[in-house]
Amino acid sequence: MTDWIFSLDHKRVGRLYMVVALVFALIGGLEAMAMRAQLALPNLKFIGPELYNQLFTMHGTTMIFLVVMPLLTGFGVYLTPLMIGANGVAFPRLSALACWLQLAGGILLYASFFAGGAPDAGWFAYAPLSEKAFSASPGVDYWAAGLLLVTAGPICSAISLIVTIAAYRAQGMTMARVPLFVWMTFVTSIMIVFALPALAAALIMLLADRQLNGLFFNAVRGGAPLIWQHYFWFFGHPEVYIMVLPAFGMISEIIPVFSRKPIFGYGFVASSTVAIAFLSYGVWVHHMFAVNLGPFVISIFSAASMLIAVPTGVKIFSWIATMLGGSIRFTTAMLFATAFLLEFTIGGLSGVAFAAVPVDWQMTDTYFVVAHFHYVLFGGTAFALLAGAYYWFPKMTGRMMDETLGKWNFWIVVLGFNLTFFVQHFLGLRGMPRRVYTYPDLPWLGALNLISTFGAGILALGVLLFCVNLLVSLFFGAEAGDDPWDAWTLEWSTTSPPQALNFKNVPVVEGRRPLWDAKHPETTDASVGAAG
Amino acid sequence: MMRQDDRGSRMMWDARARANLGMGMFLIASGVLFGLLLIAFISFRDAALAAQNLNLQMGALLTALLVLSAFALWRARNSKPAADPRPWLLTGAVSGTVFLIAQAYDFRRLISRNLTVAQSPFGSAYFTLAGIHALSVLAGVIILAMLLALGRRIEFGERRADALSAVALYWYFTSAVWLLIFGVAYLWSLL
Repeated sequence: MTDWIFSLDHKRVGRLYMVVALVFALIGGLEAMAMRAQLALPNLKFIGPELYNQLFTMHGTTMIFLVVMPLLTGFGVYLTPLMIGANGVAFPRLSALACWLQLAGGILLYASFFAGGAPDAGWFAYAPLSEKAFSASPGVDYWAAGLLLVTAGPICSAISLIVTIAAYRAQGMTMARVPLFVWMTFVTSIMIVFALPALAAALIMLLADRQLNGLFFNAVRGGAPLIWQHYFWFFGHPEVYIMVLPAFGMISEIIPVFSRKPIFGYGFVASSTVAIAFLSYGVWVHHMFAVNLGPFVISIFSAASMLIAVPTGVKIFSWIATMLGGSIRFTTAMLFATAFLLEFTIGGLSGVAFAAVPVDWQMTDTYFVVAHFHYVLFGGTAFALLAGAYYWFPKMTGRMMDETLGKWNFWIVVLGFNLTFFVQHFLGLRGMPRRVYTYPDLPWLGALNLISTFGAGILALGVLLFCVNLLVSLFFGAEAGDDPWDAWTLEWSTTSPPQALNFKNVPVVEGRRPLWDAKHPETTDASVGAAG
Repeated sequence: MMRQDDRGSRMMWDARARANLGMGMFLIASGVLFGLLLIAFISFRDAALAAQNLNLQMGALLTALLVLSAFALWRARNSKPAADPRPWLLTGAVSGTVFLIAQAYDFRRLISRNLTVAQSPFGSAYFTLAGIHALSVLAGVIILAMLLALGRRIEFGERRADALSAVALYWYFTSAVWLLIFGVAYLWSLL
């Protein structure tokens, strides 16, 4: 036990991140199921409005800050040193502290349930709704204090990862050769450093208002509630890419290996990520089109929001071109990666639709938004995380995940996910608002909601099946060996699971696929003229 | 040239460069935080309230203390390897501590004049900005105290020098933030 608590080994810290995040994922999932149950039929009174407000606030906050970010950070902390041929991260204590800060923040957030009520102002806690006058229970105080701790975590781990990637690469591992997952982690880490402090600033101001009777967001006495929205979304939109770029990185590792082809357009995938990072700081106002900011401002932000789809689209085409003509092996990891392409594209396209201001005005705060961002964050990020779990589980544990259970897992999740969220597009188009605990029996609302709730049940089954597969495979899975997928990156050149010291001899790298080069000395990437 | 650390990783950068990069990233994050608090302060700036309550002499004293401490850290960071940097570290820590005492005294004075967090958005923004800045000075003083305590046990070898380099960057930054606060809150409104 103390081995884990005081561990500075990046592999332990990485797994700790993932295990804690999985527990929070189950809690956040239960909150979602409770909401779907309440919405199954019109005019249900199974959950009251007060509790419902708490549930959607906690569901969003949990999934973003305590599940998706820690899972991606966990993979980043675990894999980055292994992929660049290093034996550890630059600041191991800082990385470990980051993990514990995040856990402490999560516990503080959930302590609100026992302190008079969970936060109830939504995951973005718009002022003045989040002010004491409108949200009197201490929930929002716990939310703000908890998130201050939670935001410190990713900043600490990002600093450690940036220095690791800058300074700890093996000999010959230039930035033009690091695996794309490392590239994405690098860019994401820099984005975290620039974006999360904006949330911290907003939280400090909110706490000053709530705890010290400050007036930052009190419009009656000269404050400016709109500052909250600007600061929050100056953090919040880059945050979307922080939650999706490492997922792109996983997809960029998995698709080439199971297509038996190097990634198509490595340079484009990497450089388009840098473009996304820059653009993501210039689109935050598209969350605020409903605020009257004048046609000039919203036109600029509308154009920027459409523009950011271009570097994202570049990646989609790179992945498709990688698969084209490859000898594809549809393992569970590859199935999830392929489904990611479809589901994420749906979420991306509905996002472009929202960039058009009149469309946004019509559909903002409806279920169309809920459908959109679940296609991005579940259909995108969560599918990539599932692909990543099936792909790297053998490396982390030394055992294979069960492929038969995996296939069931995959199809049930795909079915459940699309049933749950695809119909929500139509709910939104028919005018059903978000964040309402019930709705009248208008045409189609009852039927579509029932389908969505039914789908959520199937999705929950799929997620449970994943957990079962994790546990069963952990104890009874087949031996994996060092390199079960015949892969190319350095993490597969060491033992599964890796020893405390990752590499006895740190390899010298001569191309983008060092393990391929080692396995095929007669046709290394360099010798056949492949880029690298 | 490749280097190796104690875990056998090959190093492209030396330890000082790594420490400085890590600290630099932290300071970018701090810079965003202070920048946004400063923007909030500017948007609630109230020249009349500032003229009534803020004291230019006090502001100048606070500024002088932090400039002195930053100078001390600069001397400590650039002292010759043979020289003992601890007198300079002590100078920095003491002037930082005096800054905190003076700032606390000034906060009390402002509150007694009825400028509080709850009095106006100007008050909320001033106390938040100056308060968070004072917390970062406090953190700096604690770090200097730790360096001094470690320095007594361990000779100031290469690793100490790397830590010192990063801590000095932190002090330059914290002092620079105060210069901005002094410029915006004091000079802009009072001159």
